[in-house]
Amino acid sequence: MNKTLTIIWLVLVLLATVSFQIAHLGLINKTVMLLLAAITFYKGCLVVNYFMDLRSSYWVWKASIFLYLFVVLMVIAIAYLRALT
Amino acid sequence: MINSALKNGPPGDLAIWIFILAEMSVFGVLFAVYAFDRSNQVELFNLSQATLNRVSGFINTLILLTSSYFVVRAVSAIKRNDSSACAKWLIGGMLFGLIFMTVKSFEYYDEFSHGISMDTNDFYMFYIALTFFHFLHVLMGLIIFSFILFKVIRGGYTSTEYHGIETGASFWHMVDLLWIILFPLIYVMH
Repeated sequence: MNKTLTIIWLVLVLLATVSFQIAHLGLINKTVMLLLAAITFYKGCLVVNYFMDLRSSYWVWKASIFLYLFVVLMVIAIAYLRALT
Repeated sequence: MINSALKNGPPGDLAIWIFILAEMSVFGVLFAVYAFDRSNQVELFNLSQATLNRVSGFINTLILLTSSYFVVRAVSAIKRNDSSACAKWLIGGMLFGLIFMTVKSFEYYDEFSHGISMDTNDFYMFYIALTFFHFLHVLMGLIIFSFILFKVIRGGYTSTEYHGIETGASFWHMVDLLWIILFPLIYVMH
């Protein structure tokens, strides 16, 4: 279990580094914007499943947080795509 | 359905999850308002965002992720009835929380000393409001952990009774989860 948690932490660090590098290189367009939102959603899912440990909880709890992440990130993505056009 | 949800509930106290959902909703609304306000003032937001210290934002992301990892290891340790390891992981998590606050304080000091305030423009108003609101949550998490650590050291938690640690950990992971959205929103996307 601890080995899994360590791998999850390393994946989160790697994904945060990818997001930072995207900003650092100034790579911003519609595709990159959606990629950033997808990376953020995936990082959120890892935290919810493994750090918050909602994997074994009743599905409604997990679904609530996943839905939150999805809706918030979609709204942000829509606003940013609107600004890009 | 309600019985199943309560019987197989999330880790920690149910009340903290209601609090977590409420806090996340408040942040969610603020994130959305920020994004839509930005779409009306793209140039201003991009110019202001460029003045932020992106490196310190990134460092703080790594710090908070590591802190969350330490906290989850503390929960894992108490489940094995290892109070000593639990205390060590918890102290590590708290230390990283303190480092987060220190880095953020230096960032604020640098910005405020350049005359930046909430009145400067809409971007800074959102930036300061969102990050300071989050900062207060980190502080609150550290206060909660101080009480938990005191109880862990006194042997108040065992492998069969660790409800309090899970409650504090759930709050801390929410703080981490919010920063996971805040970092790309404020520092990265432009």
